[in-house]
Amino acid sequence: MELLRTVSLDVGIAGRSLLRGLNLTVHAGQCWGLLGTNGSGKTTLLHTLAGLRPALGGSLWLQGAPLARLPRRQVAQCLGLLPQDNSDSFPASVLDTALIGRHPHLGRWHSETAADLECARRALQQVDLAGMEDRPCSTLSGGERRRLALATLLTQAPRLMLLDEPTNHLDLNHQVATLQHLRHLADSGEHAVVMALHDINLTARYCDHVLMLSGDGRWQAGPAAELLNAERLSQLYGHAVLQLAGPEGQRVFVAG
Amino acid sequence: MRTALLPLLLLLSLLSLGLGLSSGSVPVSPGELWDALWHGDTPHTTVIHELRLPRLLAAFAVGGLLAVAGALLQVLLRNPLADPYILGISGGAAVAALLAMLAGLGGWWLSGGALLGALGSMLLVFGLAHGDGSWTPTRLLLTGVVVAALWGALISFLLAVAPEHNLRSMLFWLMGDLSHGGEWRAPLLLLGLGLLLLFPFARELNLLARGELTAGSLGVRVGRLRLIIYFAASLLTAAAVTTAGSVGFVGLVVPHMLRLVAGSDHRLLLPANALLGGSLLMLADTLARSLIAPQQLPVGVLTALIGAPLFLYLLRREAMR
Repeated sequence: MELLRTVSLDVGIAGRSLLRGLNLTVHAGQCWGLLGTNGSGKTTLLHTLAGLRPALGGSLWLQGAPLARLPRRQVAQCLGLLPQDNSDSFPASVLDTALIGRHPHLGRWHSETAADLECARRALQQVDLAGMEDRPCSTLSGGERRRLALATLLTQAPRLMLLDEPTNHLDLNHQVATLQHLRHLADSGEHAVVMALHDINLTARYCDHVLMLSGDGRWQAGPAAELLNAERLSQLYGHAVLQLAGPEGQRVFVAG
Repeated sequence: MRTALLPLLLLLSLLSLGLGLSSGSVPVSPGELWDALWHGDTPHTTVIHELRLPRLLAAFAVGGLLAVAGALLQVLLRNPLADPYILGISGGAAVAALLAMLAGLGGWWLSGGALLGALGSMLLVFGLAHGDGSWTPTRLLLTGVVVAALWGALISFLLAVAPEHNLRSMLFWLMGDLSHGGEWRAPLLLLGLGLLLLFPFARELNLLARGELTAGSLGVRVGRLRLIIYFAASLLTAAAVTTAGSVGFVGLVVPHMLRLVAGSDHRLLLPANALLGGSLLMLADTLARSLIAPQQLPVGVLTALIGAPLFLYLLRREAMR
């Protein structure tokens, strides 16, 4: 099932064009990796896809409807974004923070029900924060905050999840657990995942599709198996990337 | 804690009201107060009904308005140090009010002038900060602070050129003062109306407090919400300033204090701010008129004297946890 489609989408920031003519279709069940150097437009693209900043040109369709004309609340019911960094200037507890993910599913006059609380608790469990519900966010470590932001997204439970470097601040164990969970969601056939990543090997392991941004307007999109090779990656990053064979026959990429 | 907060604050408000009604230059015992309130025609009826009650209700309304406006602005500017006066609204009101005093005008001219000054300042700051539509919290904050500084300079100028006999009332107005026997119905009505209209947006406030990006991606129409908050907070502040001058500290400390003890849910914080702000100002005003009776102090002095230690205590307790 098609969740998101872009038609010759132009994306840019501060008068600079980063991406031109993007045609992309994201189906439920897919997991897209978004690769590119710093400043190549990964975040700007994710924000544009989420409808949080206007595109410079082209059109954007969410489940067949023009995204810009949909009510924001309706958009948030099927599309969610994990921002690159989270800042909390006001005190709040872990459970309250996860619970805000239910916002788009609640009417103006409704408040959270037991089912919403259950949903938030389950999400906290999934990101390994069970037992921390009552802790103030200010006492969490960087990695724990990152997982809490992910729990908020899981509580929101949108069909299309856009994630801006979800593995930031996470230790090895939680990087793998996080991506495994996202892969699992995509495999259920209900959800699609689009995430900006800097780790090529995690991308190769968990993403079935990749979108590579050059930052000068050019882009390449397609199955990960085709696009992820030493030549393309070296070109993308402007640095030699070598491809090795792992112990189980998987591809391993290292910087040359 | 959270479920008991509103009943507790309501009790505090009633106790503050009772205390305010029974103390003053003519002390009234609880029994006499009860008779005067409900049975009429006792020796104290006039004092209670015509002097103390209106003044206490005005104090409650002003305190509530300021605390709610402060809570709103702290979210809008994403700055826990924001208070209702930070964007220059009280400055605009003060310049107009002082001009009215210099011209020898009082009563409705004074309040009307203050209201016009507050609203004018609100529109001026909005026009300057909004610009091409891309206003950010930082830009709004800077614009407001600079406009407030401009009002500050004008206030100093007016104080410098004012004749001696006007100075005392001007200073009292600037520090916040309820002794004019001000209007209480309009601010109290506005407080109730404001709470009622803002309540449906309370959950969206919770989200905006966590940042525009988070709020936007969870379905909040951020631009519209910020307009609503800005104008609501400005109107509430204008009403408070028009009634009692610029009473300091309530709008900064009460919202902050409540965040420390009650968390981040504005469905609870908005009514709690109204009750705690109102109680604090009733207590402060009671002290203001009884500490050195029959002389009166400006209530703004007392709010800071009560609020600052209370706030520091809470901050310290928070740090110890």
